[in-house]
Amino acid sequence: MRWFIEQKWGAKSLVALYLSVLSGIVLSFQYDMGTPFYSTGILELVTPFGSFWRSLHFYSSQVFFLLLLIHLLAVLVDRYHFNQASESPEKAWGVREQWFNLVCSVPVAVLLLFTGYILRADATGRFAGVIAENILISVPLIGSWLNSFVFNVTSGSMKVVYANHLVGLGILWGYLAWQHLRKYRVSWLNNGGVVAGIFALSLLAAAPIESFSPGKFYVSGPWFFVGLQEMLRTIQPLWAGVVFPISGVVFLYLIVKGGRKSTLYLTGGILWIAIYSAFSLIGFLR
Amino acid sequence: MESANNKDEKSRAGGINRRTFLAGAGTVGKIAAFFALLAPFSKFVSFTSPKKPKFFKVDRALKKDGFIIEPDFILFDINDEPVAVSRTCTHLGCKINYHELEKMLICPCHQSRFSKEGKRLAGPAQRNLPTFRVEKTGAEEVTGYIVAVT
Repeated sequence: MRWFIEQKWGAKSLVALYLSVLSGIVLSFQYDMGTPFYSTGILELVTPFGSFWRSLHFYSSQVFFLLLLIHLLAVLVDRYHFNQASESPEKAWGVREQWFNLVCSVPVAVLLLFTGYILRADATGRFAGVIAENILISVPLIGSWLNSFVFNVTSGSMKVVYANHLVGLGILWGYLAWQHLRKYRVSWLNNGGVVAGIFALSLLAAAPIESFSPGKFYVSGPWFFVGLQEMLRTIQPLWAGVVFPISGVVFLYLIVKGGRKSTLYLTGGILWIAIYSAFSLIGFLR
Repeated sequence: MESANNKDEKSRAGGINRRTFLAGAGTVGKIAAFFALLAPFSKFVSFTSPKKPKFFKVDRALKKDGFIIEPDFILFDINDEPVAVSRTCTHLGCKINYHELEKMLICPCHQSRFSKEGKRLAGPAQRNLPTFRVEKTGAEEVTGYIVAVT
């Protein structure tokens, strides 16, 4: 347990993010949002080193997100299990001043990853896009308005998604995490293992892209979306796609900010993860 | 003769005077007007205008009981008549495919199922698939179709 906590997951995650941003900038020189699927295909098959840059962007983004979750888990385990001050639990949380921003940065990171899937515009990307759009539209009163500047993919254009992926969400994530990140300087050399691992993955395995097949009767979304996809079979989009995900974020916030009831919220958070994992498992087994 | 002041005082004794009554009536009127306008306003604002139809030309004829898959619709021959069914799932908008063996349309995202006529059979979708207007082309023999996608 100590070994797990003492690893600098946050620094590793940040290095992966740097790689993701840099490779994303390189990709943007060739990616054409006007013909997204064609452009992704050209990048993968024709453009010199296109497949490599695509893979580097894909895997560095995945590693960033996974390490971010591990970092979050390690911090919570450390604070909760080892350093919780008995007289006032809130004092034990070193990041509590920025906690709201940091908690909000997690769904923004999910959206960053998710919009990347949409932009490749293959079956997974297109379906993920329209599903997300319809979930957002299901929000009473403001759904359509929200959608007009978050996804808006059924308008036939990727420009809103692309603008958000390239600029909007990146700036928002940076703003939310800035207070936390500005204290740290990460060294590429100290995190050479992560960098080497991402490069090795990018050289060995191409980033996924699917061909259009009219005979397809099952399309699975991005791995972190599979649980939600499964929930949407039986639960109304507003509850499965909006209320449930927000409740997870609220639990995460209250684990730190919930005062004396933080244990109760921790239980709620664990239950949330268990429910989502169960739905994901069912989805993966299909 | 009673003065106006005396009348007001009498009304006050009964708990209400003309000014209070008028103010109350005004408030009730405003609330009534608000509710009277609420339905026209919300129905007007939430109405989705029908999209301008896009016309798609299909340059071949359907075989008996056959089908033609296009990006936005699937054209079926049902009892010698062409029926164009939308491929956009009414659940969450995924693109639906036709399963030849089961003779039904299946959504690849959440497995909603529909008949060839677009009728909802199973799954999380709650509404039938829309069908589009189809016109045959060709003089004596059918050579193709024009489908108005809305």
